[in-house]
Amino acid sequence: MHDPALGYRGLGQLDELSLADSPVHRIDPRVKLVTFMTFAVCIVSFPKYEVARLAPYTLFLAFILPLARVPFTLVAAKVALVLPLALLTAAFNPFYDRQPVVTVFDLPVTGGMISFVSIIVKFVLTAAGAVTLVAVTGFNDLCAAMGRLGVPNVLTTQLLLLHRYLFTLSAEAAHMRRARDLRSPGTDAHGIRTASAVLGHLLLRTYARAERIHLAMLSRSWRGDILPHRSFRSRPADWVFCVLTCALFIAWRVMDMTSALGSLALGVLG
Amino acid sequence: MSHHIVELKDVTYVYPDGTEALKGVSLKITHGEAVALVGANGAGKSTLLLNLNGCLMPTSGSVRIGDYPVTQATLANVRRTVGTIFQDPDDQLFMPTLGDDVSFGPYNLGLRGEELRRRVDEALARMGIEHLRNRPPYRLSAGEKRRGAIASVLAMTPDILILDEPTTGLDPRGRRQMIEILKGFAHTRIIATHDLDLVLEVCPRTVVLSEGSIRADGPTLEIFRDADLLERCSLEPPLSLKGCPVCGKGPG
Repeated sequence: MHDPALGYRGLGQLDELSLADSPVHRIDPRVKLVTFMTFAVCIVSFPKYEVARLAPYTLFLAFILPLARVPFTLVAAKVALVLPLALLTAAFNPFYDRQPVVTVFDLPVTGGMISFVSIIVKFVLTAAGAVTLVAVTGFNDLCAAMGRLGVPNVLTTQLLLLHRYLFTLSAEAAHMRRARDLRSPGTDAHGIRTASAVLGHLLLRTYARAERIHLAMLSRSWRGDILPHRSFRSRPADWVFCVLTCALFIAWRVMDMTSALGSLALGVLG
Repeated sequence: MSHHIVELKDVTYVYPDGTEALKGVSLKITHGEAVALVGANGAGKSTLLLNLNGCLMPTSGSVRIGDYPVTQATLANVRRTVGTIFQDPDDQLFMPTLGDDVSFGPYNLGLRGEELRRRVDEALARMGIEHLRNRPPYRLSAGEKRRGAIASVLAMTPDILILDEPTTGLDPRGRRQMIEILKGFAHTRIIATHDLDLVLEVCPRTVVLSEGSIRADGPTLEIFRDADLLERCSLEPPLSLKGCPVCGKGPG
């Protein structure tokens, strides 16, 4: 049945969520993919010192998550998992770019500090968007949608197999870890040497399995294509959703909504 | 029906590292036969099976499946005729859901639409697992995976079934169900296994392999009663042929 290793790694949570039903789940996966791509491209194309203008995109996520019944904490946890990558990328910005651009309460704020924050915000937004996309679509449907939208077969096949064997591999890793722990009670055999032996062994096992899978595919007349056969049907409402949200993303990108709203608010107050 | 004959003539297989896994194996299996392939670990059972569907090509000698010799040119036909069920169902169920996996083979054979759907339905129904159609493989029990793997091969309507250790990792009930399923097939079956009680029930004929050569080939009961032969090939007579462990009475 269900391997306990899966639960404790939090694997498969997103797939579980994708089986739920909500207005967002019902949207055609292709439409969701196009919408997400527009979302991501708009965000990453902002200039490097831009932070405030990214705010509206947060609103979009804040709107879509409850609608899709995706728990915010889950998305936050998944994003936190990959955040170190972004931190690594942005870490040196404050050191390289020391030109003060503004002063806040007598403290100089350098360009590097702003671009650091900008990278992190962009990363968090796009990663949260991607996690949400998988949670409301399911990885397999997403790959099928990619294939339908012209993404090369080689890539979708890799992604599908990666996803399928993530579960097998993590169960194997968990079993090896348990075996190691049980044979090293009270000692510190958990050093880098044991870890590297375990990892090396896992890699070899993966190779062997890949070979067996390839044989199994060949035995069933495989010809280089493993796209699952999904029939997608998009309702007119799906495309209305797509056009409206994409228009909104592009408008936020092109026009300065934050300061427009700011001056509007000031105008009303004044 | 000559077209379902499996014939090996003096097949030798040497792995790239120099291990001689098969040494001059000759064997003829006719239509509808259920043949067990038994032997110790490393006797060459799996290598032999892989030579039957062209996953490995003999270093010397020849393999014929029905009217075709197994060569690169006839591979597509051979794989249509021979359905292979591998030892670890996790290697075989690589598609996102069980339904996708069962449709993989017939889709590759060119079936589409209604006909593809019917094939998949039939195979799932044959193994009694229609309700698992939308499950991802990692949410299946060992027995369910095993049946799924067989369904994925049945969907290609092969004439010959090759099974590598079909009962390992199954609980007693799962094993019992597997034996009944195997007995129910009209296909030519070649079963490599250590489960000699399964052999007694399913296969009238047994081939004993040891160190890459055939040591015996004949009626299962005769072979299992030859204690010397079994001993020499690192095997043991099946439990059902041994005396009762409590009262010591002989079988039957």
